Amino acid sequence: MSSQIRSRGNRLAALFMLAMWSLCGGLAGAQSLPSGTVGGEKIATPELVKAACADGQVQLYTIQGSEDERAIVNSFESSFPCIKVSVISAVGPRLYERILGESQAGKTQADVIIMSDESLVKSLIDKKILRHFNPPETLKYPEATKLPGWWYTAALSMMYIIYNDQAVTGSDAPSGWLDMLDPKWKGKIATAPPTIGGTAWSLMAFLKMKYGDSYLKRLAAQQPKLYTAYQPVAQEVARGEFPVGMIGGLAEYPLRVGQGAPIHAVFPKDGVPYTVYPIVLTAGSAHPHAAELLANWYLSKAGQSREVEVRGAYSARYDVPSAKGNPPLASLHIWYPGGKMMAEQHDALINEFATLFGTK
Amino acid sequence: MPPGSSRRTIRKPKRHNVRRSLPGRLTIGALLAIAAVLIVLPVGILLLGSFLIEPPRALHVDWSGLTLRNYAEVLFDRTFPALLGLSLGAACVGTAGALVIGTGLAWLAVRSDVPGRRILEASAVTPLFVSPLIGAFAWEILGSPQSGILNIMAREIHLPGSINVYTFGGICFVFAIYYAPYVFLFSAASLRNMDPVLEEAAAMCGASRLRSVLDVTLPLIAPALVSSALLVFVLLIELFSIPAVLGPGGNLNFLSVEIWNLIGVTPPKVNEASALGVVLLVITATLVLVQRRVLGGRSFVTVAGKGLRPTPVKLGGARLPCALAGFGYIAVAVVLPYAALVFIALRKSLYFSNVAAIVDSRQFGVGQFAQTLSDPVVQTALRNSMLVGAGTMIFGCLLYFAMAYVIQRTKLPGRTLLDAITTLPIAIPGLIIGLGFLWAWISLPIGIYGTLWIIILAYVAQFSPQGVRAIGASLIQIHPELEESSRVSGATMTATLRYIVMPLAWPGIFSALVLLFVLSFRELATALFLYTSNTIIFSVAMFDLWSRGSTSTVAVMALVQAAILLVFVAAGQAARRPPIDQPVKGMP
Repeated sequence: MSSQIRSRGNRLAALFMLAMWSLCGGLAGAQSLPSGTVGGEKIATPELVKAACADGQVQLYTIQGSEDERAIVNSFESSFPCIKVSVISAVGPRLYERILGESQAGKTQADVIIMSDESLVKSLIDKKILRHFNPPETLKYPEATKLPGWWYTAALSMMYIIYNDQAVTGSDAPSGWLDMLDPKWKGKIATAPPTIGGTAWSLMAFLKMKYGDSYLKRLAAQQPKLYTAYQPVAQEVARGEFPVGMIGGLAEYPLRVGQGAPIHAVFPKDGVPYTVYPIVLTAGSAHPHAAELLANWYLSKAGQSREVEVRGAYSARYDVPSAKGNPPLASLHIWYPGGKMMAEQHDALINEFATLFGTK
Repeated sequence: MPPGSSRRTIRKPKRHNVRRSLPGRLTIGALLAIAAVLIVLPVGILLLGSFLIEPPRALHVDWSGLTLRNYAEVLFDRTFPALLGLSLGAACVGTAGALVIGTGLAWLAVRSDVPGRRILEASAVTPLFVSPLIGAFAWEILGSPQSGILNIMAREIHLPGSINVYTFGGICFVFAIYYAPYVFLFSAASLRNMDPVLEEAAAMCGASRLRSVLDVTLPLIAPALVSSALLVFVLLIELFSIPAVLGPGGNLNFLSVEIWNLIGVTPPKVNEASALGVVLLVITATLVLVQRRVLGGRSFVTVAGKGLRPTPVKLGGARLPCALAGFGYIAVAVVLPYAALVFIALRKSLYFSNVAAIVDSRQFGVGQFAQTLSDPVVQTALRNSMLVGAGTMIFGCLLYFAMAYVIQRTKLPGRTLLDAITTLPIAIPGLIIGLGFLWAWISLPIGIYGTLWIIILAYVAQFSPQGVRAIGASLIQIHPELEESSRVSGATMTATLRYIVMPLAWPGIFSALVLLFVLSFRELATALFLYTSNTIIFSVAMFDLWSRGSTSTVAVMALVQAAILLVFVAAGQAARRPPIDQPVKGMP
């Protein structure tokens, strides 16, 4: 009898312990889940956060340099320690080719992609590689910087003029796009052809639109050195090999502000063309919830502030201040060709440029 | 006269008659199957892609899109003649420069009494440890027209003229100094094996030293010169890194860089890049065939021992100038570039325009070393590169030994085909073959995509020309009678391989191991389409940082890379048995 009582008592004690353990575990679990509110903005429901933590990881394919990208997503990992972000970085077209190769083999690795060219993103949509998503802060993004349901821009890259402030001083310094046609800069300008991506295409399209067909012809007569990326343009101007450059700002900012290179940036008053960096989610992603959470975070004020701080990019959100050393977005006269114009005039502009500049 | 043949047996090695044996047939069948998957499939898919509108990604081929348009676009483009002319011209001039430097250095180190010739001989191959990317990068720091350190110094002391590495001549100069060691390896081996009696006879007949060199020595080593020249030409015409770094500064566009650019334009012109890759393949494959004809039918048996050590030629009053020239080359190709890298790695600000700024002591510190070496991505990349190097070394050598043995020592049907297949990768630039590996292997149901294995297999395929020939060269040197004696005495094939062939071929195999590690640690282009965030390798991480302008981090990584390769090669040299004399492609 007493052994029965003892046995029953033991069972009750065990049940009690189990109940307490479950309760504590549950509470502990609930407490360990990160909040879906970051920097005062609600970017995810508790259900999304829970599912994202269950995914545990997310693969980001990006056209931004991997060092920069890691510095940005480290902040995301700090807010959501249950998720590890892996980064693959390459220039847009090569990243695009890799995504298509993986997709056709049914081995899509990317959960989230950041591209630099709207036309390549449209192609990914057409090939049914992407999926819909609606981040909470969509209204903060102006019309030209999103395709609702498909992509929203993770950053804006401005195109402007830079010069080496040890080699160029005083009144010699250029202040606008027309100054680049001054004969004194003949053979001394570094830039890139429009074939390298949306950034360079937008710049040439802007110059042609703003100053007429003759601008590109006169620029070709200046015999600029054409690099296949903007990074070497920034390097060569910083080192003094070329006194002036026409450049996508994301390539020069780390040198000018991060490394203290002798570069001065000129944001021309008559217009600053820009390009978008669409962030998208893949269909058939292995970590869909973590992917959505990462994209939501990227487009939040916290994510955008980090992007601006690390890369010197601009955010399409007017509530995110510009980076140290850059003028405020509201002070710039910005211009974007838009997907329609890019689609219609893409090849014609590239062919015109190739003819004028003798490139392929 | 071929290297190593003077005064010695010229008899060609006998081949084993295993034509009818089932294991033999199974072996060559298996090797051909492996070669088909590793080499033929990726190359074939690229070739096919050059005739299609849509790339054959993951082996998905749209036959309705068959076209010659890609070739028309590439070949009839108005920039193509200039592109081809520049690429061929620079490769020609670079090869000529490498021949002059490599042969001159080999002659000084092997045949003359120049002071310090042992050191010269040992250090002549050290430029091979500088990857071309790093060499170009270092020479940009040294010789760019405005901010190059040498030009800043020259301006400071009012020296007339300046160096400009962004010119045709500048690029050819960098080509020549980094590819001269290949010529050195070939011609030094040839000079070591040369019969001195012929030179002595020329001297006794009253020929001057110069005449003796021109009329006797050079013709004797001509086969080595021709084959090394062809090899260097092939390597230069497909080289990406030096033209990519130095070309744009002078608006100089090269074939190899154009392939890279075609994949980098929006939208990517992958099929045109494949077509241009095939054009390059045709050029290089033709040269490889010429090279094989030059070397074909020659014997390389040297195991019977050497003749007399040639008497060094006395240079007299020219000793010192010759020594200066020889060591000057080492200074230009190794010491100066690494000094520039150390300088950049130690500097806080990378931008300077005068000597005072260059020597400003406040700018120096070792923080960059600590920061780079503690970076988790750098650590992961380093670990991955070591693993890839080890994997390529082990799996490559096992496979290359089997292939080289079948090609060199048997009469099995299909061995010529195997030989041709293993030569193929040398004719294809790494950039484009990387895409071939991705397309061909991603859909294979063996789960290698996203792992280090895909990079290891790609390297094993890509380095097969060097690996098979390195081991083959040591197999050729072993007289077949040794194997025949073993078989006649009743030993099995396995025992003969284990106790006769392997020990004798070990120096060659060991050299191949070291070579494979060096090549795989340096290789960049092939992995660019194959790595993932967990499988990033050192050279890719370095390229990524270089592209972003993190110059000092790249300089630290370049120094780490060089240190690892030097330690590895030095340990290899110390560990291996007496060295072989036969040079092989790309052999340090």
